[in-house]
Amino acid sequence: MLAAGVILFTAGEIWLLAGETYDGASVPERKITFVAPMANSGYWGITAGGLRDRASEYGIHVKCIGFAELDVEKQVYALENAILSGVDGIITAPNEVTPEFQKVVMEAEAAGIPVVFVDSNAKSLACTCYVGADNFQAGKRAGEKLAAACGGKAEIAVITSFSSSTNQLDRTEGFQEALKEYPDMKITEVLEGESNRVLLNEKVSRLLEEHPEITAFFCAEGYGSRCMCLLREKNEESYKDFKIVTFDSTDATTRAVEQEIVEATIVQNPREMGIRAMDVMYQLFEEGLGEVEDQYVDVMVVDKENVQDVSYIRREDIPWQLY
Amino acid sequence: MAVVLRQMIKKNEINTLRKEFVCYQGMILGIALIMNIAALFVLLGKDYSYSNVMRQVVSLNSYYMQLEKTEQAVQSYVANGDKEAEEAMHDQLALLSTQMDRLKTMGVSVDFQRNIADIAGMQEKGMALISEIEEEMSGNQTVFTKKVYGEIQEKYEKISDIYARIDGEFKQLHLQLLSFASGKLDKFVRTGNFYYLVFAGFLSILMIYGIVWGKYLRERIVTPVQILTRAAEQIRDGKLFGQKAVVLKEKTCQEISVLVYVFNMMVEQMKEKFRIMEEDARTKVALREQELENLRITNLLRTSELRALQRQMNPHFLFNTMNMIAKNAYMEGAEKTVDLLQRTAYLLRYSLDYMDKAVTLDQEIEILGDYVYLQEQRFGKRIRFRFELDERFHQTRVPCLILQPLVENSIIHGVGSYVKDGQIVIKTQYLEAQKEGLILISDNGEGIPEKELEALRKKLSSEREKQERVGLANVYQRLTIFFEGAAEFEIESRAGEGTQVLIRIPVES
Repeated sequence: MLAAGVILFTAGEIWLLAGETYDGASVPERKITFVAPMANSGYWGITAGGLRDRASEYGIHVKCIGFAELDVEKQVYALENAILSGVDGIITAPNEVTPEFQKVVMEAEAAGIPVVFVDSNAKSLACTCYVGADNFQAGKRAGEKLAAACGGKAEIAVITSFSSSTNQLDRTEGFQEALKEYPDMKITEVLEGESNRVLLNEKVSRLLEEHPEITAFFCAEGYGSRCMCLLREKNEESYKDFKIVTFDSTDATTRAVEQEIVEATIVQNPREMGIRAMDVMYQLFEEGLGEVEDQYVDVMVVDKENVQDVSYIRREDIPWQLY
Repeated sequence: MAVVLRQMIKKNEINTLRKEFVCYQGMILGIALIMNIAALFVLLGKDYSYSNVMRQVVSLNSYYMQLEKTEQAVQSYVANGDKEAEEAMHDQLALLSTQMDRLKTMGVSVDFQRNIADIAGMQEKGMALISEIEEEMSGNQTVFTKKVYGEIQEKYEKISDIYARIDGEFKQLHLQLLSFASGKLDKFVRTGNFYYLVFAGFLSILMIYGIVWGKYLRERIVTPVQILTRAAEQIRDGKLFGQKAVVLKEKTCQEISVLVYVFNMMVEQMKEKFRIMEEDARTKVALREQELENLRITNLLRTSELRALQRQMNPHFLFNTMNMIAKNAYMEGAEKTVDLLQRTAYLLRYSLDYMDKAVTLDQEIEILGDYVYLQEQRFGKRIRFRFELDERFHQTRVPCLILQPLVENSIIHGVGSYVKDGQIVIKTQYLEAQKEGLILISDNGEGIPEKELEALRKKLSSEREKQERVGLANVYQRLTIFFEGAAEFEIESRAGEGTQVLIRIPVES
């Protein structure tokens, strides 16, 4: 009895200690590098979470690279690294298409590495596949929503991160497309928030001073949306009459929709996007390089009616590698 | 565990002291063993863990140092292009590959190993470029055309770029390794805490078991032993017969049960032995008394026989002499004397012939008549004798000469000193209902003072040895012997009023 106890206990200890000292870490055969424009636990974290969760089902390893702030040069450097390392696939978002970016994508293709774009589609650049929202359509729906809210008459300010951002360009295009039907709706100004809250706040105040006729805002990306919502919350009185349509789902935007200080927010499904991107990648590995059709992930127009349906689970566990 | 152990022992039924101790010792040793092994493992594990992390950090650093050396060697080769530099470069490259192989098998986190794999990929690219440069350099050993030189320079720049990229990964890798190590150490601390809990658990089990076992020991061993000791002390103090059997309320070990059982048995046996010894002693005393009695009786018999024989010796010549005197008196014409002599002779003859024989009461009365006649002759009218006889039981056999001594006593001690009106009554009466005969001899003499009477009565009942000499006692004794204790003998007296002796004898019809 005692002997059995001792043996069991000892065995348990050995097992525990073995688990401690050796993780049995070996890298799966297939290696993918995901280069996100930013490293966060929100939109890009959720995307990376979808990717990694799906990848572990396929036995594929995904290395997640991100940046503290939008920086296309660093993004290009990271992509070059991936190509030199001989990865099996690259997933990235062509946030801003520079010549260097174009060059590195072409290098990848030349090296036989499939490149999947998520979030933003660079139409000017031939990639293997695009997985993400139809940004043009999403912008259009935002335009329709804002026009309805303003009664077809408004001076609008559009807030972007960078006007060169491909996805925001698409969205703005779609937005403008929607406004064509409303001649009294016109875009007065397009702001570049540069994903910097202080800068954005300053720019918005200056804008309102210069153009007091502005009555509506369209935020074309998530970070700017969040800043705008916070600004609106802070300046309850002076911002009262603004009609706002935002993009993406964050804590602040959800709260703002609930409180009806924002008309609507266009919510993408980054997790779904990540999962489907990985599915495409797997398909490419299984079937060899070839044409894969672009995949559009549905967006959702969230207003006070359906705001409670939106769940927003941040992913804190992504091991971002910062450059 | 303790409970299970005890139950196991119970299954084996016999609950011995030895088993109890073995069980307890086993428990303590077992727990100590487990705790020691656990402590050893924790220690070893800790050591192993630390050294492993250290090794990994060193490996990573060595790789990067080697990378730098290799870069320098490549640079030197590209600048000089001679054989020596080439060999040096190859040495460095080989070392770099070895270091990389070590990194690949380090088994840190998956993400770390993935980065290593990426670096390995870059390193391969770099090495491929180096080979290309070597080829070009060996192909144009003597003269480099500008074009070749340009190509070589371009490739070398690419190599430098790769070097820079690999170098740039170092910080990342270091961070990953440290975070992995810290995670592992955290886990280790948690495991350590778990072990502390286990230790504490085992210690408390040991403590609780100790307490329970102590209680158990007290109940099962100490208390019974104390009870036994108290009982033994009582026996030591001589209270054996007050000692009851020792009963244990609680269950106890086999050894103690045996002790108690044997103790009780021993006490019982001792009591039995004592009883037997006491009985023996009593029997011996009784036996001794019996022996003494026998001895006395034998003695008495011998004396009686002697006396009887002596008595038989003289009487006849006395009797003959008296007859001769009577004849002589007759011839002399003294008729009264003849009569007296003849009566005395009868008396004498009776006493001689029947001394040790039984006679009828009739014969006794008759001879008493002779004696009374003689006494009447002596005392004349001073004493009057009266007979009141109930002859229905006069055929009853009685010892010889039982009445004469009583009448003689009455004369001597009672009425002998009277000048006139002395009276002695001899009365017999048959009690038909009780089948008893009464013989009463009473006088109106001086009587016996109370104190003397008491003494006399005592004499009759106790001092048998000296009774023979006293007439009264002699009669009493002979009656007792003859009737085997069925006869009664009473003496009543009051000073100045006379004495009365009553003999009660059984009559067989």
